[in-house]
Amino acid sequence: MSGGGGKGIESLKSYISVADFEARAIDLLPKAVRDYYQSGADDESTVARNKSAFRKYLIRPRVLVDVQNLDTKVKISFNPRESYTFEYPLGIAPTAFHRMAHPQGELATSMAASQTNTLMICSTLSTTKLEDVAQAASINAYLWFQLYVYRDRRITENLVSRAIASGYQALVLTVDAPMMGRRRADERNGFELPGHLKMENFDVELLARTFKGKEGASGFGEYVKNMFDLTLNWDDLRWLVEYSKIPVIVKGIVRGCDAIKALEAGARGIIVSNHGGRQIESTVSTIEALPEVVEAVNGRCSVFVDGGIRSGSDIFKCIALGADMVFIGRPIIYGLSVGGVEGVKHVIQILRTEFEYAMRLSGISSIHQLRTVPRMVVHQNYYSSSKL
Amino acid sequence: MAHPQGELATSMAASQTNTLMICSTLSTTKLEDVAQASSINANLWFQLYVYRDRRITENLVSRAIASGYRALVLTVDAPMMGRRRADERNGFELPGHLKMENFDVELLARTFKGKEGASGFGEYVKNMFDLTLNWDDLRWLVEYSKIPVIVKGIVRGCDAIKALEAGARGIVVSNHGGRQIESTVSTIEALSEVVEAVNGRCPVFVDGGIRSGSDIFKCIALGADTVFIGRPIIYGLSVGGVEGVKHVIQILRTEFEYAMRLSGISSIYQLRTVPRMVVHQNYYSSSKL
Repeated sequence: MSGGGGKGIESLKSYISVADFEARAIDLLPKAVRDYYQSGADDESTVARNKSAFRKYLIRPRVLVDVQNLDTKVKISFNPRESYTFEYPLGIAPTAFHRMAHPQGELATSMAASQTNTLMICSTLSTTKLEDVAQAASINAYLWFQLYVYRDRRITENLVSRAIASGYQALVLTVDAPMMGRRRADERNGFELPGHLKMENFDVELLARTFKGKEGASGFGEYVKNMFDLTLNWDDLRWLVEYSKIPVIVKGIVRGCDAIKALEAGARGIIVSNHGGRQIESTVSTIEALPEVVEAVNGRCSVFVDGGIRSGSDIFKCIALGADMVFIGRPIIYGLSVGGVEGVKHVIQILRTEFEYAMRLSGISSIHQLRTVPRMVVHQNYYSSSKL
Repeated sequence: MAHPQGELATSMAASQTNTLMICSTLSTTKLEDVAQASSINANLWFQLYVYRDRRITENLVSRAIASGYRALVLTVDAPMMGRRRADERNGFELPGHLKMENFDVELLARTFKGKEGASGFGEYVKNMFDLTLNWDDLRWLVEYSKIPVIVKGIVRGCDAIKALEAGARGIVVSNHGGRQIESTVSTIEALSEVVEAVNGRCPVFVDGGIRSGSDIFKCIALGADTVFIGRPIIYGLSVGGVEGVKHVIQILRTEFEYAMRLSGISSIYQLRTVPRMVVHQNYYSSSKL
């Protein structure tokens, strides 16, 4: 049931784009696994729009700028005492069940993240215990922990305490999933975790009670239905901010007003996200939603974005439009499927290289320039306004 | 690579049709020989890059002027070569019997070599091109050159103005045939902004994507003085050498004449001054309708 075995470094040389990894991963993964990772909700219009919307934004390159020395570093500050500097504005988004993609699962992802100094957001729905993921990371690795607020508060408290004890530097609260979106392929497949894998962050008894594949519904969906909380509201975020000693980042916001509410509730960062197009269908793409949230936040906290990023120029556009950092989800799964640790490292390296190309060929030599030079990236409508 | 006669054929076709030809630095024929193959009153411009080693640039400029090229075209959208995935996968390099004839052999041997996973051409270019290239280098070239310098690869109005201020005598709105920065604006979209910024102070040219006479018509209507075609010439060359190139040029000229006549336009002047001869389709879907 697991994905392709680890490939040697040499054979990954022919993979020169994220698309190459995606194509190979699709070949390697069993259908139900592939469907789980690739699916969007319902008609899948949002998962498609996340990618296609990038094409509507155009880079306006500057010429004859000295681009020999590139500064791609970003600094994320949670408060005056707590800030982190990353070599590139690119991180690993939380995605579930890495051991379905590769036998080493989240351990491989964590090692790849450490070896490239890449921030990794570890998913609650990990097939590896959060303690073990931290253990596999280097001592100064960047690790955040993604969680949901469960119906049973004690589960959340337990996860938070353990994450803090294991050195995770921030929590990422997912707020776009009071219930799981409908992924039709999962329903048709009656998707459930392969028998040899478990959601390792939770105790076995709890799992036995709630997680069971049923015909016509996905087993995972049943589990989630019982754990998640439809009543989840802003008080719960306030509670979590209070309870947690580490900063809380909110993931899954697309409205400016919600970003403001999150700030007022004590969030230290916002991830503009639509859950990879897997939750509400027919919603706005994250690149389209980004400027509204950036404007609403107005510098009061970091703004991140995920969803549909597949190339360095996608990253370039997100940063130009105001994101501090970009997270990638499925591409990491694809790298993992194809080549384990080396596959993930390769995907990250491809994106970093493409990002550097985008910077140099646009006449931009630093992140600061990218975010302050006017109109580096515009919506294509810029070129068809009524004066023409 | 397209035809055994290469740039000689292109040059002859250009002369025989009185077509301006911009000869590339990366020519498989020496610039002197290209000039030689042209007629005595041919219009030839020479395209170049400013190399890390200034002497290479100075050498090319002197030779171009000596051979009668009437202007230089400085490419400014390539501080490094863009990533062409097919070239990387193919480990592209020039076929063994061909050379970049404008450069000396020793230099080539030093830098140009096909490698697995990267294109050999890319390696060569990486070593020759200059990531520090900036506006001072344009000013230097304008000063050094006795013939006018045209800047190719601009899409921002502000950059067009800077080029003018640095002494450029023309702008080619271009994105290098879509081969450099990815996900940038098309040249027809970018053209108006540059035309507006330049405001008649120098000629504005455009290349990229022109495949028919109506494409040329649109570029001129939106303010370009002359349009350049790239790949279509290569295709004409591949198919029919000199005659192939002449044929491509003739097709485009004929189509352009049709476009003019069927639009009620009888001169370039009219094409550029009659209001709204060409509009973006949004003209037809603005809110008042």
